[in-house]
Amino acid sequence: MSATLPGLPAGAADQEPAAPAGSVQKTSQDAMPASQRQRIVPAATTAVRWRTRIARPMLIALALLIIALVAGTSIGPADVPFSAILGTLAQHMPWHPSVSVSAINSAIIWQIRLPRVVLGAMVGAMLAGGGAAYQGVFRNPLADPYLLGVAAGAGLGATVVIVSGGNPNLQPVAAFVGGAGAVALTYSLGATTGRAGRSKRRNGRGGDGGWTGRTAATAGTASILLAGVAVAALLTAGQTYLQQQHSQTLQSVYAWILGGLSGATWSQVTMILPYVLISGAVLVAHRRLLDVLRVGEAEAGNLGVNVARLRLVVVIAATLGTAAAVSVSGLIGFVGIIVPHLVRLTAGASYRVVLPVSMVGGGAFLVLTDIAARTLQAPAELPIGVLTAAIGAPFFLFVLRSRRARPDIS
Amino acid sequence: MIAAYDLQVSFGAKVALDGVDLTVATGEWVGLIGPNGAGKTTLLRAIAQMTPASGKVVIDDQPASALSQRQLAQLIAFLPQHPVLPPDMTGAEYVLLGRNPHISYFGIESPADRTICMDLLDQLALAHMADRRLATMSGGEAQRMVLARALAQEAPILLLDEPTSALDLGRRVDALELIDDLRRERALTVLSAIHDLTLAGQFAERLVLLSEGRIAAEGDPDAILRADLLSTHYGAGIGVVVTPEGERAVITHRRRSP
Repeated sequence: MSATLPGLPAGAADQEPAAPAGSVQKTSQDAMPASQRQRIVPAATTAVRWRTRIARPMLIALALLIIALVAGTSIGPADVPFSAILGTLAQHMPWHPSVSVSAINSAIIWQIRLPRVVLGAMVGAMLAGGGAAYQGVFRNPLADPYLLGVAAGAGLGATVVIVSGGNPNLQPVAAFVGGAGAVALTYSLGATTGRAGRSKRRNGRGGDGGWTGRTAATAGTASILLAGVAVAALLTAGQTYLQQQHSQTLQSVYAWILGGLSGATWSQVTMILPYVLISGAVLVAHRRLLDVLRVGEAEAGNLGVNVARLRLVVVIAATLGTAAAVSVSGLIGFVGIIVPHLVRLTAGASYRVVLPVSMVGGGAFLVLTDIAARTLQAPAELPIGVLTAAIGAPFFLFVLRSRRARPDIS
Repeated sequence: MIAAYDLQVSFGAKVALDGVDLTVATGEWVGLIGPNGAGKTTLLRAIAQMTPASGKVVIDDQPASALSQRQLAQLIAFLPQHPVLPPDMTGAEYVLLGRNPHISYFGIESPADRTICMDLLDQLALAHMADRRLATMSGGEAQRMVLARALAQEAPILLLDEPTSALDLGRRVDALELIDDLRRERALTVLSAIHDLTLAGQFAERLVLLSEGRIAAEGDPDAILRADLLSTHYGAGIGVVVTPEGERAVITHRRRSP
């Protein structure tokens, strides 16, 4: 405070009446309750909170994930004791103590339940992390992992394989190629449109005029999103047409579209693992830059961010992860919107928190939902996408209202 | 040092800048004045490479078009007229954003970055608000936060687009006073668009009057703030009064009728 400039008395003029800072500054710190102390100590660097805290929300998300994984492995038509889960896990370690688990329990756990919960956690992590990344990079609270056409492209790819009677093993590959290809199409079309429209656009003053920085080729956010809507509509039309023309396969196409984790295998886990790891790592590595982008594309550009490149890299990473998830799970909606916003509402809007916590929390959310999907009407399975919305939406609305907060998407 | 040569910007058929040449020396404060739509903001944005322009901009002897986004941000700090203030961001987090041009792509802020920001918060009497959310700050407090973020860039050039338009009269003088102190202390080069002609005349060392995308006049505040010149470009009804204490001009506005 000693360095305060003339003309600006220390905090005096602009104080909000309720803020105690001006009046209590000289009070001994020890005399104050801890809750006030932090706001008042002016010059102590250590007292300032430089980042939104991540430890607590992350611990909660991790705890939820572990509970979900254990519950998902334990719960099912056949009862398996917890010791059997530990024993089965031990059996599959490279060097393991001799444990005895009944062959049937071991098979249920290792062949059926574990791949399902692990795959569910990976899919949930990718959908939620991809949603958070899309929301950040497009600065749009409604952005979801399917925004740029992943769902429509994957649906078309899977449908083509199903109606042509192709090898079912090709389904995930076709879904992945369709999903990623749709985003590539969206991006190139949207980027071109944005560039062509640039020279004619009026100069948006201040804030977010749509200019994204340098004169180098940058696509406006809006034109990319609109291109995504158009590409999705086109591909969905193609998919619906194929589906209609081959009504004998309607059942399997419909089942794929609804999404689900039944029949999960370890080979699916290992198939998408590289995408999950790379996508997750790249997205988390961009957490600080996504925070810079919260001040808008124009100002982020002034702060030295190459917005077009940042957006491209983040979209590629999020799309690879999402397409990989969709390729093994079908279309599971709502996770990518609800989980990141829940994290924002409860733990703050910084992407240093939102990205990693959404991934862990998204994994927990999808595994828990999947437990409900396969137990509520056992032995039948409910479509998991129905449950993500049916459970997620009311819970989300409850948090939204109880916090009386608007999600800060900036 | 900023040097701009023959800058031209057009938006469709509308010519926003029509051949502007401008030099701002190191440590100088130049004020851009002119009626709405004269091209003040466009000129600032063209210099900051935020809008496509023909012509040439040289920043500290380097052509601006050859600089990367990051290099530009190390040289120029730009304060927009209406900064985006993420409501949930704290003051500390916000000011720290200004360090971005000095942090590598995948890097994270270092303790040195934090020290720089903390010193700025101290200097701008904002330290006690470091942990407050931007949404809870008054206009004047948020204004100083934005200035602190710009200074955290440690860029030698400050481009200000109507930096005080959101403030009341007292806060307005405070903010300009602060910028002037910092300019002298750090030898900053300041180019600012200012609507308030009276303040423009008191703070800027040189005024540039823009009108319809061209420089209509430039020079000493005393030479530019003349009733006839201003009335020509702003429309009739502008008077200039010299204060009893000194020579500085005060701009008066009169109704056209009666």
